[in-house]
Amino acid sequence: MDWQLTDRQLEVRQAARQFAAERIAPWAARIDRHQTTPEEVLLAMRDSGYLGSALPAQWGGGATDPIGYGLATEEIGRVCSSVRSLMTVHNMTAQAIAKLGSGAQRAQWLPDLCAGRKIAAFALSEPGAGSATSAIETTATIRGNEFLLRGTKKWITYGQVADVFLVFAHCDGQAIALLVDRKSDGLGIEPLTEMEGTRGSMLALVTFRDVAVPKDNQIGPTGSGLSLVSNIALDHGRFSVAWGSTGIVHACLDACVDYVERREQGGQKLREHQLVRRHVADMLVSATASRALCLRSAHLRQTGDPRAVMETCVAKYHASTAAVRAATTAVHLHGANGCSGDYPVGRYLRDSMVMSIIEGSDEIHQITLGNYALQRPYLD
Amino acid sequence: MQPRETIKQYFSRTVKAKMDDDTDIFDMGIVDSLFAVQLLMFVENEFSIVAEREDLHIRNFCSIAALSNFVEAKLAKSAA
Repeated sequence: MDWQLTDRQLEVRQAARQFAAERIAPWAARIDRHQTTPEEVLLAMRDSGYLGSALPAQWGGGATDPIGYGLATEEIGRVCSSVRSLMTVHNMTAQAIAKLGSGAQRAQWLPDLCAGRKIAAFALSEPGAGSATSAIETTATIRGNEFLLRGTKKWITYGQVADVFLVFAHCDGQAIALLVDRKSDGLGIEPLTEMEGTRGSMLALVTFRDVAVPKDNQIGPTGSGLSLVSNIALDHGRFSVAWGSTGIVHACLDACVDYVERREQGGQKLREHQLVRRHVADMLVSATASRALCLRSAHLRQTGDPRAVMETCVAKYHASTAAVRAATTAVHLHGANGCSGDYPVGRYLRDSMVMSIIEGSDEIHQITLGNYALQRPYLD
Repeated sequence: MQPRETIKQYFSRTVKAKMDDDTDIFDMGIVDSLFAVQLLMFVENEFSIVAEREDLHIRNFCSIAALSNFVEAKLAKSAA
């Protein structure tokens, strides 16, 4: 594997770093405090091209390779996990359309999603179904040339502003996936607030009361909804969250290095304490390892290697747990300041806890990766 | 090597369970649904085919025999 980034990938990372610093970072604390993403930031994201950067050029996307896309995700995740989660869910739905949509569906939806004129959300979780996706209760009933959708989706990231939802339901006992326009009659959106982390990600409870959805809006064949459509989307989601978590680890390292350089305790800078150095050393190793696993996952995706699926799980599990560890340490190193709103590390900790739950919790990954380990993939 | 042999080798490498060509790997609980995505990437990469929307029925991916038949049909179609 060639670890040398190409000139193009380096440019993508530098551009994302600058964009994140100028257009998102100044808002990050406020996004967390006010539990919303202001219109200025949404507009910046729409105009930036990042929402469509990994999508095919044919539809107006940036066709950025997985490594470049991952590096950009890390940079945005380093300053604000809420805004990074917009990239994640928008692309989960857009990638599902690009891979599994019909020609007409791609032509209808992808140009607007690539250009950021429309925002897409991913509607799988329900009040009674999180990781156990087979437990979803939303139903789609065939009526003539349409489906009647009935049910409730919960924790839908950026559901408050999404223009279109990729909704998973059961139809005659088989799983299906449907694209549902926000403006559909019978569709209700209720903001969810007071979350611990990614507080600005504009979560919504989305209800469908006999919402009529044209049959042409079905993505993928009937029966493949949970096995292929959701897994293709969730695979992208895990990839994005892995990079975002890596961004959090780097943010913790940045914040701690800054702090221990300035803060004095007992007549000397914190940096002079050996235990402090041990903590930043651990963070550095975690940050490096997380990025290396993300790069491995991206490289495998780039070459179409099927190991990419499980290696993305490896990267996501490692990076999200590393983020929780790094953020916990970062709060401790900041002492009482770390528990105040004056420093960002408290936000990093709350955001990192979300990372270790979404797109497959730690526990689900432990089961999945335990099974994978028994296949001895490390011998390949 | 025939597609079926290549596919058998892949299953033998990745699915550590006794199975014959017709064993339904999903019904038998031998693999989880993530494996369907791996299989999709495997056949597209290994045989240079593109699975279209209408191909993505889980029945095309559920056993060695089903996947072999699917790949052979795709290859025959692209050669025609």
